[in-house]
Amino acid sequence: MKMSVGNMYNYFSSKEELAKYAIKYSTNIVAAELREVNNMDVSSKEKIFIFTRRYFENVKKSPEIVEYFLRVYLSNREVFSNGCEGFLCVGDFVTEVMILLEEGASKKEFREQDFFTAFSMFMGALGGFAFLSGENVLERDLMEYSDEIAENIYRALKYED
Amino acid sequence: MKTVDIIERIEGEAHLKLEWRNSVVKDARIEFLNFRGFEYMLVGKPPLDALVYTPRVCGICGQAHLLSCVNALENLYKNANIDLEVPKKAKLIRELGLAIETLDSHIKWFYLFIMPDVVSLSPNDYKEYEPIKGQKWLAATKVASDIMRGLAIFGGQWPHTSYMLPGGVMCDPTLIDLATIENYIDQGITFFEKNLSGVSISEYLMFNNVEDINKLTADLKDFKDISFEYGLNNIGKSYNRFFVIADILGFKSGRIKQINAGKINFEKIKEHDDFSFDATASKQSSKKYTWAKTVNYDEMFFETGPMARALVGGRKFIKAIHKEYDDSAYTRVMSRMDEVAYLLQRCKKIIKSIDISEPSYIQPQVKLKDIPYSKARGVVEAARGSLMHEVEIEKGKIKSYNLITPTVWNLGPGSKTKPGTAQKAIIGSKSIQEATITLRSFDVCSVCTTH
Amino acid sequence: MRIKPKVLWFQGITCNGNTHSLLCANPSRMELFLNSFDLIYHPSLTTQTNLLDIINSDEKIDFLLIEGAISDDTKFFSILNHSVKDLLSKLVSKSTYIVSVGSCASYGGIHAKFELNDDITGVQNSLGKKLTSKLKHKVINLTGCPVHPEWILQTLFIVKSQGKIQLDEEHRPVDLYSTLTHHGCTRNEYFEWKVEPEHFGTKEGCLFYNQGCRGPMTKSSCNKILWNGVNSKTRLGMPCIGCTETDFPRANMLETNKNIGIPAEVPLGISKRAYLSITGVAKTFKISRLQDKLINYDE
Repeated sequence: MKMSVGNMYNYFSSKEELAKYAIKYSTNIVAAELREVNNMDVSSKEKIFIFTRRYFENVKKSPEIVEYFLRVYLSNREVFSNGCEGFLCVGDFVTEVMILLEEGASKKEFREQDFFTAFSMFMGALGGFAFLSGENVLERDLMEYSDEIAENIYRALKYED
Repeated sequence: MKTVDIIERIEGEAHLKLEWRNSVVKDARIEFLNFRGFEYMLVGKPPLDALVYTPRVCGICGQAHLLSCVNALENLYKNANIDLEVPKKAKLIRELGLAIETLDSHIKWFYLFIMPDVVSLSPNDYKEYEPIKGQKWLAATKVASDIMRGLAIFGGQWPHTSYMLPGGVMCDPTLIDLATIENYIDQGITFFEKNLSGVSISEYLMFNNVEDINKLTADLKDFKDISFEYGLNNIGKSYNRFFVIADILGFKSGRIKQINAGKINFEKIKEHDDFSFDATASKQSSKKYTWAKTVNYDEMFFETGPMARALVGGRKFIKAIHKEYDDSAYTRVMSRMDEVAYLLQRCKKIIKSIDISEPSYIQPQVKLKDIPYSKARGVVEAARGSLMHEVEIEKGKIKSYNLITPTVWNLGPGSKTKPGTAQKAIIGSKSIQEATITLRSFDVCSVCTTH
Repeated sequence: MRIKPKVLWFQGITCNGNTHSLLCANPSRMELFLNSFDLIYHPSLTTQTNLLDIINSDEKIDFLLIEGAISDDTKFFSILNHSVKDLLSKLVSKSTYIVSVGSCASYGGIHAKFELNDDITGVQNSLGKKLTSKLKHKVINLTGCPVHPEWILQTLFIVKSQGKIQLDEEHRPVDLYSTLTHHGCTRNEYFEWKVEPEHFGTKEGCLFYNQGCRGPMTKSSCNKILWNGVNSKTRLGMPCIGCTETDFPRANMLETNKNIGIPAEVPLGISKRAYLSITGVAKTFKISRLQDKLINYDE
């Protein structure tokens, strides 16, 4: 973040505070993006494609944010237990995913299934791919994979008669 | 000579067509011209929605329909070989609901539907029985609504609650709830003692011979006096055959044909529509004249209701009255009022046997929607008699639903060769008044008859 | 208006539930009603009068109360050898105030689900705009299956005293249908903290998430004016089935319609985003008092 460690502690009382704030900051950006997409008057399938693209654009633009989530949060989860119970810190983003999934199912574009399995299909694909991107193992530019990932997500969620 | 009378004040409407010869009724037809089609409505609906639809077949006996429906839905599991456990507490609460609704029905029927006609036979002053204005009419509606609060405590409201469902009941009453419900029952007992019998309920329940009728003071004495003066103990006799379909509330299922009691074989229950209109036909055959179907057992017509329950169950007082006065209008009405005492006592017994620590509901392992196919029936004794619901489900929807209500047993149009139960009772009447009172003694609930 | 306004109760296609609900009125209120109004005819209750005689006379009716749905068809339903609509029209022409008692009279209700007769509807719709616009007062709809007796009595007393009553867009008295069934339910705290009951039959938990309760989306006074003076369905653990709204009866009334685990409908007037955000926050907190049983009886 281009700030000295000492200076950071002028703003945050502890490592924990900093961690919570950083998580909230990064997910707010993603939540705002998804809210915009949710408000568009397009099909739910289209929304998956658009959001995937925007998510990867964010990953490309600020890779450290995703890095932070994957590395720091997952290995320091106990830091978040007080004041970040369950999904509290990432609430806005989860709300937007709920809206996307519920609307898609009500329009019979997505099939009925448990919320968590649908959520993990969506976020697992995006988060997992961002991780790979961070590991620098991808052969092509991140954005070139966007539509194929979106297609996979869509096929996993799609409605069947 | 033929006469037609439109009978009102019977939960709906019926047309009584009588054929007279030598001033005596030779043939009688009870025409029900109103049909709402619940059996058609339920086709294609999700199975549990039947719990909301079926109480609405009737505003006064909705809970009887609900219990019959729940029994049928639970039997769907049994017939599909799926285990289903229903806590004893839930079964007791369901019975209590049925008993309270039945009490309300009996009390209202006596004061709102029967007595206004009976007192009009006599020139004496019985203005306390006058509808709307009379003190006795008002006192009856008051106690009926008070007793009903008991049902509202565990059902939420009355009319029309669906608090029973496969697996148990939706309520979980507290000890205070049970005590409060018992208070309302006690109010009913006070009413029975003060307004109906004039003797204590414990003394009443010991009556066992026909002379005990003379111990009754209060309103049942008024009823007796007018009945004997105007021969209600001699009119309204039918086949003298009795039918009780369900073992519930201490009533024993069975039938009495002449003096032999026997068990029920459901295969022998047959519904017929020779004289019943066809809902899908654009033009009706001329021999059809009513929306009511008819039902018989082993090709014979039976009477169902409080008199049947008292006789099949062997209750001494009614047995004695019946021995003296057969299945006359007087016996019929007395049986129903006798059941008030029986049910009040029964309610207290049920309340005392509820174990509050039991669960109210055990979730079925499988949803009805997920059973590929099943068919079942549910039976109950409603205020007016035996009630049966038959349901068939397939691929998550109701495939067919059939209701046979007690008034179909009593008021159906008979067969080509034999008149139905009430028809038989009316044939031989010597006046319109006699015919009408006989008909009313069966409690004509036209909404249930045709559903 | 007369000191004792004349009330006539007419039944169309009905189960009689509203009549029996009226009979459950608090006895003092019932006595006041019968002393303040002249109930000149009710098909099940009165004995001195005859409906056709009243119709054929010059007698004017102050309040025409209608229970049951209306149809012009006589194949399936006739009253005194007339169609329901025919008798209704004749009665309306002699009446000042028209009150539809119950969902069936208001919009067809449960009986409109009988598809072999496609002419089953409510009073307002059956009479049509032309006729009803000529009435002194709009047709008053008391939706509900059945209605609470107080809704009838309070409406009659207000109109008797004020000459009119303010109605919402469904023509229901605002005084009775402004609040939601949800307001006053004793399970509200469970709603606030998103505590779902494990299954039916518990004192605890909110019935909105799984058991199909329409309380937060339904206009009624059910948890304000208690049923039979003592209770309501939701208090005891039965979900509200939304019987005062015009989409009753719905499908799958005893379960919540969800899409991928998320309620398809959220409380009235609240955006899905707002509701899910709040729900998300509330759900993360497990408050032990609300997870425990309310009463633990000694053995």
